[in-house]
Amino acid sequence: MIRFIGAALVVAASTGIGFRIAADYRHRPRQIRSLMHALRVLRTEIDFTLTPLPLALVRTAERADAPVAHFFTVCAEHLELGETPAEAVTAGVAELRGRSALRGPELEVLSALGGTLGNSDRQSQCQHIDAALMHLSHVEEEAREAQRRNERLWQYLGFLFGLLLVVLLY
Amino acid sequence: MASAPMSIRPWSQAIRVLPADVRQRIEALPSSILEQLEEVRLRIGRPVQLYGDRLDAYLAQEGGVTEDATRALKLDERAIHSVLQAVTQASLYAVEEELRRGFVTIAGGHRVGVAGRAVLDGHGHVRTLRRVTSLNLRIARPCEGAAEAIRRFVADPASGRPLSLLIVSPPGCGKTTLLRDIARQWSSGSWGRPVKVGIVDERSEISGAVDGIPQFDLGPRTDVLDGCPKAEGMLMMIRSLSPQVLITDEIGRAEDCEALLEATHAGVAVVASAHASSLDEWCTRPHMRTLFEHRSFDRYVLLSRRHGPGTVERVYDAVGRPLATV
Repeated sequence: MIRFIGAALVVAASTGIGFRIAADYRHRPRQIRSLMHALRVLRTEIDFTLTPLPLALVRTAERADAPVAHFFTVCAEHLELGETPAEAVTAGVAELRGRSALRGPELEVLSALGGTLGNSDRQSQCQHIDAALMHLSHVEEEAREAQRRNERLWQYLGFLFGLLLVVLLY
Repeated sequence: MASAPMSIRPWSQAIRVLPADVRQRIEALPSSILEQLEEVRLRIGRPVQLYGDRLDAYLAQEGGVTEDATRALKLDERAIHSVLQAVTQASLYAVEEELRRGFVTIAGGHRVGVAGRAVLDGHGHVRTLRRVTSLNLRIARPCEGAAEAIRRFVADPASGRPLSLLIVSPPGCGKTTLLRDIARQWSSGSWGRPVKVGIVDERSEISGAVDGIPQFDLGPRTDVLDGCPKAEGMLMMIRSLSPQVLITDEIGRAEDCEALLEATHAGVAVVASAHASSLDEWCTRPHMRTLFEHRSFDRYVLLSRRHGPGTVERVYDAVGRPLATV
C-alpha cells in the first residue's frame, strides 16, 4: 500500500514538473504579446502626450498585465531614485527574469531599448520603440513555434519519466 | 487653481536637481549668502559659480565660497549630465520645445538655462541641443506685492474697471514678476472687485508651469493657457474663457499686434510686457507704433533696476504723457 502511494506521488510530482515546464512554453508567447502591447502604450505616451518617462512608465504599468506591469513599475521606481533609464531597465529586466516566462531574446530586446529610452527627441524615441516591437514580433513567432513543438512534449515527458522511475524502483 | 506650494526657502527646492556634493556645499553656506543667491552656474570642467545681486563667487572645494578658481569645486561631464537628467526627468523628448527656447522650468517655477551644441532642422531653425556644456539654475523667488507700487494706475478711477497696461523695460528688471503679481491681485480681489484673469503663457514664464501646472500662486480666478503661441492663445482665451483681464508677455510680432487690437476692441483689458529701455524706443518698432496710435494701452509702466529689480521709473498715460515718477 505504502509503495503504491509512493509510486503515485513520484508520478504526480514528475507530471507536475512536466506541466510546469509546458506552462512556461504556453505563457511565453502571451507575455511577449502583453509586453508588445505595453510598449505600444508607452509609445503613445511619448508620441502624443510627451509624458516624462517616470510618469509614462507608471501609466504603462497601469494598463499592462501582471508580470509585464511589474517590470514597468520597477523601472519607474528606479528612475525616481535618480538612476539612468538604462540602469532602471536593467533592474526591471532582472525582476522579469525571475518572475515571468520571458526568456533571453525578448529580455535582450528590452535591455537594448533601455539604452535609448529618454535620451533623444520624440521622433527617434518612437523609431526605437518601433524597432523593438518588430524585433519582439519575430521573437514571439519563434516562441509560438517552440510552444507547438514543446508544450505537449513536456507534458508527456513528465508523466512518462515518472512512470519510468516507478518501474525502475518497483 | 490650487495654490502652488512655495517653500519659504526657494533655493532648497531648486538645488534638489544638483549633484549631492554640490548640494551639500550649498546647504552649508551661511544664510546671508543663500538669501542673495539667484543663479547657480555649472559648466563642464569649470568652477561652480554662485551669482546674485551682490554675489559673484565660486563654490569652494572645502566648503564655503572663494574667489580663487583653483580652490573651487569643478564638475565633470558626468555630473552635468546627471543634472540634466534630473531636470528633464530623463526624458529629453518631453522638453524638446523648452530646449529649443533655451531653458527648462522645474518644479517650483525655477528655471534651468541650457547651452551646448545646437542641432538644426532643414530650415535652419534650432531642433534641439546636444552635448550640453553649461547649465544655469535660476532660482525663482515669489515676490508677492511687487505690483503694489502701480496700484493707483491699474484701474479706471471712476468705474474701477481694469485698464490695459504695457510694462516696458530692459531684460532682468522684473517684468514677469510684476505680471504675475498683477494677475494675483486682480484675481484675488485685492484691487477692488475680483475679476477673471486669463494668462497666455507662451514660454511658461509667467506661471512657471511644469507639465501645464502653474508653480506660482496666480490667484483663484486665473486660467492659464500654457505653451500656446500668444496671438492664437489670446483669441482662444477671448472666445472660450471670457477673461476680463488678459495677461501675456513679450509682445512684438505683427500677429501679436493684431490679436491685441482684437482683444482691446472686445473690451478685454490687456496687460502685456515688452523689451525696451524707454517708451519712445518701444514706439519705434513698426507694429508697436500701430498699437500706440490705436491707444490700445491705457497706461505704460517703465521699469528699471535702479533700486533692485522691479523699480517703477515712470508711468505714462495712453498718449504718452507722464503720470507720475515713483
